[in-house]
Amino acid sequence: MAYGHFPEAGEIVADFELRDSTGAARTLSQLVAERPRVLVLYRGHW
Amino acid sequence: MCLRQLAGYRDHAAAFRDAGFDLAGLSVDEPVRSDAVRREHQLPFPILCDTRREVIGTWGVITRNEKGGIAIPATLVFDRDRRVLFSSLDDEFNRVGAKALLEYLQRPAAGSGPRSPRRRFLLASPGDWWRAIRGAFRFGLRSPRT
Repeated sequence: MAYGHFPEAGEIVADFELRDSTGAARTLSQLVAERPRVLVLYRGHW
Repeated sequence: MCLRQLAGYRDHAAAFRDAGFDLAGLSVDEPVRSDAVRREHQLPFPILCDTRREVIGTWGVITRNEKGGIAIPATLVFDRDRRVLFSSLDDEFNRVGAKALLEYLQRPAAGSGPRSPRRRFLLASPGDWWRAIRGAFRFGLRSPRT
């Protein structure tokens, strides 16, 4: 995993936990528990 | 700032919801900064803060030449089992727009609701489909005929 691996269609991604903008902990598994979800990675406020 | 991407998702958020998909953003911004972005752009979805670059590092979508590394624009769609339904690593000329993704997800076969027991079958083609679209865009960009 030295260079990382970007998930491809069909793969099951390992769960992770991050804070959201309110400071609350969110896991990927919780985020998709009810419905599928689109995750948009963006460059941020730089 | 590169937030047009997010604004596109904001503008189509209701349509995504109707199509059965929730949204979320992810960047390396601190929660305070992400909260400001979320308010300023009235984003109706959560923003994840990968401040320690854990997720973008694991996924290999981190730039090396900007403060501590920031996320390379990319889009993933997960089903309820964290299985990837759609994956796009974007570059300067090929960035998945919200509208294009929405149209893709709205295809009758792409639904992942209870009436789609064969959803696994769908996973073979999204990459091919998207490559075809990207190819069309590229061809268009490189063929400026008058």
